[in-house]
Amino acid sequence: MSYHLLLIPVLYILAMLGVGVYYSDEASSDEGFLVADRRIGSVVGGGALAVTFVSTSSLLGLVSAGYRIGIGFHVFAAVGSVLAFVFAMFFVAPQIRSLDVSTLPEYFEVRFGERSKRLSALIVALIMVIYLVAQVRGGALVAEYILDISYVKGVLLAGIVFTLYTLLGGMYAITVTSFIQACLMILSVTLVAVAGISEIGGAGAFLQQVSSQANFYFTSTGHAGLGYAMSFGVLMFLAILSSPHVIFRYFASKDVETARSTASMATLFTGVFYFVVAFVPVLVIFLVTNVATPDQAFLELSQVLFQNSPFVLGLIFASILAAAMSTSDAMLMNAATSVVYDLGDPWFDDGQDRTNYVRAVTLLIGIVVVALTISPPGLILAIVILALSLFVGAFFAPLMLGLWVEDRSDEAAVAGMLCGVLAVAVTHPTTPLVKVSEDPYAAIIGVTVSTVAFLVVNQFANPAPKGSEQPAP
Amino acid sequence: MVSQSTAQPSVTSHRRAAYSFLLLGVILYVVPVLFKQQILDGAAQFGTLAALFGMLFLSIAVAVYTVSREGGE
Repeated sequence: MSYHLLLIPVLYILAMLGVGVYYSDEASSDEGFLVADRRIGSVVGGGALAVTFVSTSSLLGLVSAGYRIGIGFHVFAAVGSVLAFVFAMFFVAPQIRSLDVSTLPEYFEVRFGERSKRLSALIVALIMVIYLVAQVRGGALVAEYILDISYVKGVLLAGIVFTLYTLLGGMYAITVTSFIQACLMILSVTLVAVAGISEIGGAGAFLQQVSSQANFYFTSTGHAGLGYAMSFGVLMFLAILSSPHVIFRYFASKDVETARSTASMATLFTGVFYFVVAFVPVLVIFLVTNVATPDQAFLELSQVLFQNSPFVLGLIFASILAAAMSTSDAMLMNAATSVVYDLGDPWFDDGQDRTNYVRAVTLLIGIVVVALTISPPGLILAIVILALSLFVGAFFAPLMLGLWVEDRSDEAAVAGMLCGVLAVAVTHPTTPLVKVSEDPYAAIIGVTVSTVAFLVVNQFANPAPKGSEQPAP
Repeated sequence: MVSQSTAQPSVTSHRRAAYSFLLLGVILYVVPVLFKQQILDGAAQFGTLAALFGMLFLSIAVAVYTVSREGGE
């Protein structure tokens, strides 16, 4: 592998570590580590928020699936994601920011009580570790391909880099690095799409080729069923509104209005990203003669288009590493803060600074994830859909109803979380106790069961004391 | 600095255009699914592209709306 090709990926890795070191002082207090002293603006915060949900599985997975089955599911996922951020802009981000909490379990404590805080912290910590294994595996496979190293070395490299900058710079570092990663990813997919369409002969020739050679591509179902496409879109919508590693970005906004603007900016980043990526898989069909592994289709297309431009190719490789790290850092931080700040409460005095403890736990979880990833279970996309579905089942109903229901009880939140998680676990195809045909359906079943459980228990339980502050309208 | 009174009408029209386009895309996207797709393959392709462009315009309009609002305040 040439020096020119490696230069930008290596510079990228060093830059990410540099950001962690740069912000290590500012992140040396609880407020600094957890919520960046609530100083994040809307543009940087919006880019970071969008890219938190766009990972290797989105970039490589969308291109791979689009190449195989067409764009139908992608359009549903894109519209679902954009509408989720528009919904959050009006009904979630300002309200949740106005409560001045620092973690999702703390939100449940303020709105419901101690038991739902503990249960949510446990769910966050456990599911995040499973989810992280999939993310690090994706990053390691990319590092293996790009840097021409063994899989184990790829796991170590991906794991060490994001663990180090997360534990050093906390929320400051993961926001700035995620914003850089968002810009890098949009730049690289745009370069590939524009160069590919030019290679074919412009937009007219491109559309003509789609009609003649791949007329399944821009249709609503493609080679997959409409049910899969629609439920995937619904899963994206629900997951953006209930995943802890997405929601916690709002806590770091400067104020309530900035939280609203952050969600708005995230729609822009998400919309542009999904729009551009939609054109890439069909370019693979036209320009790559033999796709050895569909998951590497994006890499293979980039090599065809930029074989004489090693710096551009290096930039694209760096953007794929960025996709892997942009989600992993937020997940790692959520897992560590849930353990130290929410589950670990009884072991600390009130007001005691826990920054060094959370850094130690971040390192420990990073090591556990690296160890598990060396021989991971299951396929990446399957693990990601399972983890997202569990989050949706556990948190969507209690989170939304916690914002809008007047008399709410701790017991109702606990029942909603437990029943939602169990419903997803039972109906998901990985544990086929109840047969459902597609992976994303489990999340929809989970939300339904969780909402019913919450509302039924809430009818009979004592209301929790109201939070000190009502959410902003 | 753009004042809110001058920014608001153009922002509203951007949003209306974006919503209309997205709605058009979704309708064109769903119609071929409800009816016989083989007859309407051309419409399905156009509908998918319209939905994609509608989503892009909507996200741009939402961001423009927010920036204009912040600028006007």
